Amino acid sequence: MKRFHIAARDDANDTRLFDTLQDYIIEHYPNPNRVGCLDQELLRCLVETPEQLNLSDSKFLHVFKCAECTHQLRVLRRIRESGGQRGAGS
Amino acid sequence: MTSPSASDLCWVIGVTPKEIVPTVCAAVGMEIEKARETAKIHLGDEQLAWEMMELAIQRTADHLACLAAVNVEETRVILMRFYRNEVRRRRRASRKLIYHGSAMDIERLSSSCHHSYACVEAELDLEALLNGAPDELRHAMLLRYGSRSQWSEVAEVLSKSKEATRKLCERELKRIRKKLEI
Repeated sequence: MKRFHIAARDDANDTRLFDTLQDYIIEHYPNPNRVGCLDQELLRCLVETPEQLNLSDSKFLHVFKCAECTHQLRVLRRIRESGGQRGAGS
Repeated sequence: MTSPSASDLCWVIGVTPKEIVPTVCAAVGMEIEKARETAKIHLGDEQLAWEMMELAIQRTADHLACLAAVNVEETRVILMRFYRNEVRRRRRASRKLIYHGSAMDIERLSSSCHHSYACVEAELDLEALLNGAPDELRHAMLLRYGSRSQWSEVAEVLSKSKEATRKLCERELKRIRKKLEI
């Protein structure tokens, strides 16, 4: 019952679920040596122009198991939303 | 109750041939304290030493019967070899039958195993989960997670309705909710 109420608070886009998932991945999958990471340009494309990417490539699934890539995606989305020009690494 | 002497032990067993009795008795007398200590350390009961020593004496006597005359030192070595074998045998047997600890220990061990198992189970590995998944599902999850496209935008990319798109991902979403307890 508790879970139902919590789940019911999520919006139609399951925003809370994806926010929690992002926090989980950042906490549980640290990858300080950047093993298997996507390059910056690919991450930027994933955020800004995903339709240009071949998402069938299994390399993109890496983001579900990498705190660093997930963190960069978050930064890139902030930049997209603010229309800013800063690099994701900053 | 007094402990039987080396002579008592040899007499009870009826060591033969009679010529080896003094040598065996002397060897038993020299090793009996060590044997009691070994029984106490390895089996937790020094009283077992007499029983095991009786067996060792019997085997030593059988062994010596086939040999030429041996001195006390050699007899001690043979006797203790048979004795230690008996100790090992009993330790092995007791390991199979006895749990050293209380019921609470079992609970603690069991809960720790359960906890470790639960940790493994709790790991949410979407990379592995989606690796063999249909392309559409992977696209949808990547767009939603990476780009944070809304379901309606994902639906447009996949040429599906918003409901159908979310339905496509429903099983994975449920799995994530369950694992993350949200």
